[in-house]
Amino acid sequence: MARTSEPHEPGLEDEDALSWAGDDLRGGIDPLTRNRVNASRDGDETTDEPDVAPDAPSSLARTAATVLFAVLYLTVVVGWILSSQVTGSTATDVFSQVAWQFGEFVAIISGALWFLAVLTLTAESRTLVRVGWFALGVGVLVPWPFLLEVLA
Amino acid sequence: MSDVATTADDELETEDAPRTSPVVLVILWIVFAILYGYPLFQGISNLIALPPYYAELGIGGAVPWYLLVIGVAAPVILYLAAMLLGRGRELFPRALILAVGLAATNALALSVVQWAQAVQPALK
Repeated sequence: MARTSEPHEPGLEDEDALSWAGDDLRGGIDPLTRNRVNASRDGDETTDEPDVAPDAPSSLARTAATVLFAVLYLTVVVGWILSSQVTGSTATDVFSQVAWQFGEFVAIISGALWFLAVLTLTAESRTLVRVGWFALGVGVLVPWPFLLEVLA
Repeated sequence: MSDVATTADDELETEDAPRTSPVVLVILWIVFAILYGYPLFQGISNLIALPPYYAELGIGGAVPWYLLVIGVAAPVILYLAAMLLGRGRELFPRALILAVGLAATNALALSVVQWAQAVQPALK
């Protein structure tokens, strides 16, 4: 992945210490500059929110939303741990039981996986995009087995 | 995300240059297709087996069709969505997205089964 496609020009060795492997694959721009370029481009494209900072990955609202969803997703994980106590397989053959256990296991970690995926993959996206993916995950991953057991 | 790719396109030889070898990608897709396949198989077998079972119990009119359809559709939709979202990304994000979809598929499958039990009418 981090293979450098072209040999470095002589005299540029010093810059190796100041760059990351793969920088040239990403356009040869350091991350800070790249984000700034993208931010200004975002600003040009979004005409409906001209006064808002185009992309402020460290804004208070963004951090607050991320923390809020971290708590929500933690609840989801706990909910699925409790759900795995409710559900059970009636299958007797080994394959079905193993598959069932695997299904329960990935259901338990689904909240953590979704949260981490959104956290890492929307690092450079607008806050609304990140919040949208977070909200979709909470909607999809509601731990119904436990909730239905409680509500019944 | 996509902005980075656009910026990088100026420097790369081809647009959407595959940074991962196609062989590795195909292996990834096949492995996850198998893993998504099991919940899909369960969904299909529920769709086939539940209606006659309910009919036998005398509650044939109460078949929760929407749940049966979700059980079949969710693995397919989530697999395709994960493939689409992974396009143009490197190997790890692709695998991560597919794993998230797989986990969500299994969570949904468990939810659907539990909902089906919850809405099943009482037997006389």
